Amino acid sequence: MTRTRAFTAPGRPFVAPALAGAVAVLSFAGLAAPPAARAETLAFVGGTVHPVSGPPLAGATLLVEGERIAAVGSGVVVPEGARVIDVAGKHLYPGFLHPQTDLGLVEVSSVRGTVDTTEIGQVNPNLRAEVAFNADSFRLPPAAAGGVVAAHVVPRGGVLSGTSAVMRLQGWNWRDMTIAAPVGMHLWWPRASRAGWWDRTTPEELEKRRKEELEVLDETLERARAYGRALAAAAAQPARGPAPDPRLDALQPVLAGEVPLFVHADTLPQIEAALDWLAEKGFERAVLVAGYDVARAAERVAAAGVPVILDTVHRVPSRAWEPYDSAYTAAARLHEAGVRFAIAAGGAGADSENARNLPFEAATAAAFGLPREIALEAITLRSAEILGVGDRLGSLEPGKEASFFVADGDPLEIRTAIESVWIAGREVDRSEDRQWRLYRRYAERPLPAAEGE
Amino acid sequence: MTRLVRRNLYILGLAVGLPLVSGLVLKERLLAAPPPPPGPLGVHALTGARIVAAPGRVIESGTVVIRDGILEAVGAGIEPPADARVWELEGLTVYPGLIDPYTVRPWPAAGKAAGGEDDNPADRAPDPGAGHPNPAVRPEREMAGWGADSAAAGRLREAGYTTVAVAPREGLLRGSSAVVNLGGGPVRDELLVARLAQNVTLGATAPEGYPQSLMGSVALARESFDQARWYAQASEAYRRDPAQRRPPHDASLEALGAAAAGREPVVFETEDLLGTLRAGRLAAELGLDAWLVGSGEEYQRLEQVAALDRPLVLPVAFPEPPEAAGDELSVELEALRHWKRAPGNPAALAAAGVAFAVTALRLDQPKELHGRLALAIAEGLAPETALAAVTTEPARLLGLADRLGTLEPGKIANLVVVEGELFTAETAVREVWIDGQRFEIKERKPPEVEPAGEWDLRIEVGGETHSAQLALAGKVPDLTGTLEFQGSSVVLQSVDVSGKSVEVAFDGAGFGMPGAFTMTLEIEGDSARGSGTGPPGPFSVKGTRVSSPPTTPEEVRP
Amino acid sequence: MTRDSLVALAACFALGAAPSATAQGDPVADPAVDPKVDAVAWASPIPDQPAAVLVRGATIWTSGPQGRLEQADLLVRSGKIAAVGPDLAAPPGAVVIDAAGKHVTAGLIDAHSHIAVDGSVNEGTDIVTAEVRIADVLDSGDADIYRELAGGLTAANVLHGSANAIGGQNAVIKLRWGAPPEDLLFEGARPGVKFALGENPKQSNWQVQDRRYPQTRMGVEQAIVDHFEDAYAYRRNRQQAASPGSSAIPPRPSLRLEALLEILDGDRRVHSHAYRADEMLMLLGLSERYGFTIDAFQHALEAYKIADELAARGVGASTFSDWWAYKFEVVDAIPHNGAILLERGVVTSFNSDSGELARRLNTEAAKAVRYGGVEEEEALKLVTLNPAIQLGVGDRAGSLEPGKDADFVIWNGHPLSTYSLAEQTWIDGRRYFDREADLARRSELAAEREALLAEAAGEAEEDPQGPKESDDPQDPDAPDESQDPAPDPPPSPAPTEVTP
Repeated sequence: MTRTRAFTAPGRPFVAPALAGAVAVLSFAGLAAPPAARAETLAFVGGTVHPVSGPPLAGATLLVEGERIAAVGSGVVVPEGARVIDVAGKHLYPGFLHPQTDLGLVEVSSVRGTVDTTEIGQVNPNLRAEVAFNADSFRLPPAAAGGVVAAHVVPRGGVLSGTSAVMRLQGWNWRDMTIAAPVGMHLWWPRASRAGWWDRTTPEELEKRRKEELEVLDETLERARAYGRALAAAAAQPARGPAPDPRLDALQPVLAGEVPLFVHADTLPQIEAALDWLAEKGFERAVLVAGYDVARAAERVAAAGVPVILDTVHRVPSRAWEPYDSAYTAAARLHEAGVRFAIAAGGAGADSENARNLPFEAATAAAFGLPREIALEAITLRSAEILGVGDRLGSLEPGKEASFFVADGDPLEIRTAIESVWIAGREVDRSEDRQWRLYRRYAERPLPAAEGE
Repeated sequence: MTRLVRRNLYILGLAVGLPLVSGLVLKERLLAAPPPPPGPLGVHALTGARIVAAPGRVIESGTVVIRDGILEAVGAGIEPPADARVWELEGLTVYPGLIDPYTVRPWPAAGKAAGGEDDNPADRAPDPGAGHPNPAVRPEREMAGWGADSAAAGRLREAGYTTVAVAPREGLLRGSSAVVNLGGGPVRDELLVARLAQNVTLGATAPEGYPQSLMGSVALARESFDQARWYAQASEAYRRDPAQRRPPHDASLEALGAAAAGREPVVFETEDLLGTLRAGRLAAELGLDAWLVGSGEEYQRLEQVAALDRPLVLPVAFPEPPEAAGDELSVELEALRHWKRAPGNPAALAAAGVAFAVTALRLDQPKELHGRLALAIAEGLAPETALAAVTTEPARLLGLADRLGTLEPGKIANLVVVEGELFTAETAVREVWIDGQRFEIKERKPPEVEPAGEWDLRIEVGGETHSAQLALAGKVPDLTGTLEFQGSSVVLQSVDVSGKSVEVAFDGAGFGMPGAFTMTLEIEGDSARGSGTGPPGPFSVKGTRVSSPPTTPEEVRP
Repeated sequence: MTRDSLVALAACFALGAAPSATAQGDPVADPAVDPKVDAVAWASPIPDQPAAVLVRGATIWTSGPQGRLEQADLLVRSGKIAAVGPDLAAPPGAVVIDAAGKHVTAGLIDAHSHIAVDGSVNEGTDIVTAEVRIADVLDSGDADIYRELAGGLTAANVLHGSANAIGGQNAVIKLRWGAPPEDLLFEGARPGVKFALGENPKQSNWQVQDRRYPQTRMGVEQAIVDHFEDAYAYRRNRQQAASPGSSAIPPRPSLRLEALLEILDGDRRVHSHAYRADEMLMLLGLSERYGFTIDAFQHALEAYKIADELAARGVGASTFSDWWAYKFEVVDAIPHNGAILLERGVVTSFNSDSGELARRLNTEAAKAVRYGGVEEEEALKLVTLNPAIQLGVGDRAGSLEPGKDADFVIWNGHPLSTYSLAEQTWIDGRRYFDREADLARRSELAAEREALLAEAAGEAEEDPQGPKESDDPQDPDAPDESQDPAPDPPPSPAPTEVTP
């Protein structure tokens, strides 16, 4: 599909992509090239490698060839010509995969022209998140600098909001930054509660709207099934095929179980209704994206085998009677019940400007009872597995994407410095980070000689 | 000529004269006629009843003698006077008429048909005239000019109330309240206290513009009292030296002057405990003579409430059990506790030594009062304290303890007759007496008809028939309507259904006949017949339903 | 010594029911968990104030001249800090808390909060509403008070919203969970007022029916000027009327202009919401022209661009650690703001502006370590001493120094660690939060709620008509910060009215 066009930049050796066809590598002379223009062999030696898929390896070597991890371990032989990077005393971790965000779809939240998160209409299964992903969004570099190497980018709006994509946070355009798409079809479970303090909808109206949305959902899926049968019949008699319908087309992979259904349900009544519905409709591949109430249904979720994306940890309980740490302990309660889950930040995919705070949400869950290694997994390997990219991201294992970072300590600690970040074998250039540039510029503002304006 | 004869002649005149004149002339005749004399006074003896003359003062069987609206004698072994009409009340109990120290009614603004319960922003628009520039500041409104709403008065009588304070409902500084008896006569005859107190609702906002927040409304109230004090000084300064620009006339600040100087009470209506404490703080800061209408949450901070040391008027609208409605998690512990503990609020206050009067405010119907107080008694409130809270305490608060609140010779003949105890879940109020006038309380039956639709009415007065159109909309018990008569239309103040009978109330001002009218129709299918009464006298009425309300599509759907 | 003994003796009597006050006057171990803490404010009793409390063997971050002390003790007497240092002796009757392995810090202070407000936080109508007072509408029942206590917060600057150029008067509170509203006020805090510059006062981000002057930053400056000039004219008229022999009519009282005069006289300090450097410089100019004092720019996301100008004028900055990009005027925010400001001598605090973030300001302070390499003790001061200074309570709170209020937190680990949590939060030498007590009380409260729910359901069934209205679980007026990305809720956002 993706055509590979490789250019040799003047003065730079051309290195064939390790995996032809996977990624377009583009470079233009005269343009600053944020992602290093070549894929090379890198050896990170002397540090502690935290593969996440296994125990930490002290004094191990991480070998990167092109975009991929070639080897991890103590006995790894560094090949001739490899660039050796000494990381003695440092720690290598797989980059974080943010499991639920609108990164790339929004620039400045209050400026409507920069917001592409939320379509109008109830039924938009044919929308694709990746096509609106702004490769040069100024939100990406700060997230990457915080160790977030990839993000699950989710469209919002209506009942069926479209398909999501797992996006790499460094690249030239959305095509070469797309790791996987479609990752899931997104269903926003009808809500019978108000959207916020400003929402004046009456309980009766809310209930009416909830029922209408459920009807729309069920009817859409019925139509999609009928459409699918008509398509199958048309394979035998092409002349009798149904009129093409992009919306119903988009639902076929979901009905066939090829694309999982991500059901967004915040409160317990929503979560329970969604679980009932999933069982009734027989969807086998589903992911629940839920608020902290999901911990109240933990046993049931575990029994149903549905993985969960906990949409935020940092949240005030919505009811005054609840324990103050209800949202903080939700992950620990899910874990105890045996639920497989990932942790997201910001809630409902919003606040993506602070995607870099993802590890600190996981850390709060750890402070309130979740084992630390699970907290880390919940934003790396488990996130990747739940999103269907567990074979490519989430751990430091041979064959996986070389997307990781070097830190001077535990990356769930805010005080830890992340010293360098590598995405698909290429170091993230800090000068691409507008915040960093402003910082350097004003940190170096000459001190005033005397008072003056 | 005795007064009785004069009145009879007057009624005779109506009966004889009316058939001779057209509707238009009728209106003019009525307007030209002298005001109707006060209601029939007289001498009555209520015998054989159990008499609760005052909280804790019970006469197991005695007689109450009323003469010309005043209690002449109360006690056992009293012989009815020779000129008395005797009412046998064996098996019934006579109590002092109940007093509600705080009721509200929508400001019956000019140009707006009175009686609407809707919260119409137009009601809060600035009154014409030279008042405060902010439409939420309307202390110059005086309820003395209006008295009790006649439909509300009917409902209050059903609950055994005979006297109430009425305050304007809308606004931040809402105007002054008046104390009236509920006899249904012209306000000048019912009025007991013309200017009782100023009334304030912190948190009420302007129809638009400043203020729109609770804190803004507090700030505006504070400033208005400051300005009222200033207005007095400014007027005085101008009087002393008129050779300067005169201060703008401000009827609002003028009306607020006495309250701002602490010479007139200020009633703060509050909705929650925070509001009550807030009003207490503001009153202390401004040096006001404040009364507080509480929230029912006082039990939560008894110490602070007691420390306020202000007259307290207590609502008893205890909450319904919190409803889970499919989302049990949304039910707050605080709401559950409040539901559980609210009926104990009056007892808790009494135990803490806080005196209070009780209001029927916020009850759906005033007659729910008895059941609520029965609950409060079950939670430990002494029955005498409960009775005092609706008789002697409000009488004292309103400055009428010498005339109302107990059954004692010389006091106003306001009393209520009930079957059994006053405070029960299903108290049967049989009659109330107000200024010596008897009001029989009809028992309300479950509604059996839906009277909505357009009705052509034929009103018969003294043999002449006039046509009128009655339009009723909605469903029982939420009916509204209008009455059209000779090209004018009035909005009905109330529409009540009991069994097959519909009772409507309206003010005749819109027809040039000011005063309370009531009309009762017995409905049989699409025909109706009944009778009515108003300031000019009784009339009979027949009618036919000519159209039913359009059924909504939802009702058609299976 | 004598005086101390007397105090201790008095406390033995005062404690009364507290079993810890033994007749012998021996130091006592930490008394059993107080089971009385309640999820509802009015049902939560004010905790006892022991005559003396000794916290032993902790790492103590004083945020004061003593710096950070290992293996140290904190002694509290009658609600005040008596001493901090190694091996302090326990006075007779003292409550002794073994804090070995724990960390103790001053109570955290949030310089920008909107919790505990009854009704709207914005009187968003007129461009100047300096007369409205947060203190009039404090809501002692707000559950956020307790939730923030549980995060180690002891005081908060409750501010009016940012809908107007000059908003209402703020209230500095202590989080005394259980106290009635007036007892929340932090005694002696400096009177303040909210200003707001930029997009909010010019109504940029929500639908308005009738647009209001000003609609530009130019107009915001002149709106402030206009009102200050009005205030001066008001004062002149009043003085004229009050002068001896004058028969002039005094001006009609205006609490708005009175409040502006307090600002102009320096009796009421300014906390100004601002993001951009230009608008902050503008207000600095006005403050010089009119002589009012800015205690802090709130948010101040571009303060790093004018750090020297702020430092030269002694104007503080109260900022977020890393919120940005939610509107255009915050595009240039950088997480290193705090580090640059501290480096250049600006009194800087990190605030929450959020009921959630206020529960973990300690780890927000850690972001100054991450972004810009601020030293850890200085980073902690961003949420302790520095906000105390900005709120005029630097002599009462913000550090653990003898004579200051005993407002402190016991953490189960390093206070800047994301893995740490607050175990106990003390205010005025009273233990308002105790995680152990909280955990112990939960099952009881849950059981009470379940029983009441069952009873209510039974009663609702008996009543065939059922409740007339469903009980609204949430106050629709209550600003829910977790739902609102804008740090300052707009005055009447009514998103339903926004045209598509």
